[in-house]
Amino acid sequence: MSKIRQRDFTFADELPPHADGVMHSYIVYTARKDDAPHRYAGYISAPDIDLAVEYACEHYGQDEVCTNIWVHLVEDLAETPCAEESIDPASGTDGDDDDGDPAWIVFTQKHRGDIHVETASLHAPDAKTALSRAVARHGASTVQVRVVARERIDTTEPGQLIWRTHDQTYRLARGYSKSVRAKWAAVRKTEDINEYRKDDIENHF
Amino acid sequence: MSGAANPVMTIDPSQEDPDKLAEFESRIASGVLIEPGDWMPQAYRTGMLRMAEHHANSEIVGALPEGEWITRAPSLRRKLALTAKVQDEVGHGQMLYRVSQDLGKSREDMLRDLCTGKTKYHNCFNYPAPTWGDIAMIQWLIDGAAIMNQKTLADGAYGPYVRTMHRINMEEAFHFKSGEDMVLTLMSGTKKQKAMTQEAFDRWWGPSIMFFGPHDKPGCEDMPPMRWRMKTETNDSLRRRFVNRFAPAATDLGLVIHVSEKDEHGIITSKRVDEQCVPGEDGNWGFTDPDWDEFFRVIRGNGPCNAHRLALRRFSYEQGAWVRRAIAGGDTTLPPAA
Repeated sequence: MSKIRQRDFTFADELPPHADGVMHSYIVYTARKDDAPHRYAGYISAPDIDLAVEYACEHYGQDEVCTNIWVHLVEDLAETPCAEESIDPASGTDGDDDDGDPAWIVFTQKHRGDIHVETASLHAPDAKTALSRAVARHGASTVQVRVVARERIDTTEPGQLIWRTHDQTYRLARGYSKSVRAKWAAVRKTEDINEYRKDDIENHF
Repeated sequence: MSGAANPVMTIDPSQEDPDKLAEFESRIASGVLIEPGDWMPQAYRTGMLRMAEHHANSEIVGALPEGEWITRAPSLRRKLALTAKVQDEVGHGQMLYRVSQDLGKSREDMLRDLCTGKTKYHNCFNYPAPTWGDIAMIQWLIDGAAIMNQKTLADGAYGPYVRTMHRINMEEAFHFKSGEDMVLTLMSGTKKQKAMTQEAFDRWWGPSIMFFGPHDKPGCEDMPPMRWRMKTETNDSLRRRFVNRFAPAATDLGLVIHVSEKDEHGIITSKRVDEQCVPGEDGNWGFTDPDWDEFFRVIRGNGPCNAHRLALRRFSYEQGAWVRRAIAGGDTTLPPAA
């Protein structure tokens, strides 16, 4: 055990004061391939968007192959209320996009509890119009639609190495499955192994 | 290692608007998932916050005993895997603190409440891990128990917690497989390795049985935590499934299931074979009930490592203050000497 961990800890009565400054909340999306849609990964707290991207690369970019990351402030999204079953697309109003207007990214959530996935992009003069058009075009079979101005999303550099390319099977369940199975087979019957494995997690990175 | 979100919880829904409460309960009963913008009873918000915060605290503190072993892992691959696991666990803590933040408590307050002992974390992290065998057992038994619990929590009703559980479980799969690999390797090794593994198993079998919390109260299925699908399976049912899965696996591996007595440092002073731990006629494996006095003693802060774990967390919090100040753009000073 290291000496730090062997030591007896003594503390002043009070904890150090809160750090000055404000930490902001950002939403992070990851993409598994260059042309794959960005999928909601989670939140990150950071003092600014540049550090948010750096944190996101380490926190959400190391679970599986990741080619690109998007990050935006929580306050930068506009969204519909979460519907019970599905949104009525007729509750939105479609219109002609003007390429001169800002670009908006549309994210949709298929069912309650699901993650939001990048669905499309459109042009609109403001968030309200963008959301209305997104509902009209993409609201069917979804419970929630979100839009975020493209210019408010920060991203990793094209071609930036996020997921390292060396052998990382040590941090993936599949890196152990074969050898574990073989070792169990040496001491247990096949039906016992199969029964035991019923409680394994099937969806994993 | 993930902490089960099983704090002892009392919820009083009697102060809620009865019409809204009835509608909320009807939605839950019909399988609707609750999203943050939906109306929810204050008792539900408070209960979910307590559960998510307890879980987040457990992830952070749970990383401490394993983190101590990174420098002493027996091979480079095991070292890489353990480093990645510890990083994952702390990441789970950050994700769960986020869920809690949305329910109304600031992250800073949660971190400070953990340091001062105002809020708790899972009991099992208050036991020592004196050998590499303990690290293997934590990953096999404790992560195995956590996965069993968290799979049911992923069937809960609060959308953000469910989403977070799904992501966490996807990472947990590696932790558990890595733990299985370690235990299987040790049990196919030398006599000394087998003896070390048996001793570690003896230390962790009891805390694993206690992992799911105390026995359920009668009628718990109708109480708010289960009626509102904050949890979806009883403690006793999870415990039975755990024993049915791990007792035969351990026995086939050559491990002996003991009932152990421990000293105040969590080190075993005596043990006897658990003769109840055999398959019953109904197919369920029996087991000797753990020492619930010990369970409550540890919850109250008097376990073998409570003081040490909290002290190390607080030490890290204090040592990290200058980093937080620097990142947040406040006054910076030189880092404190360790």
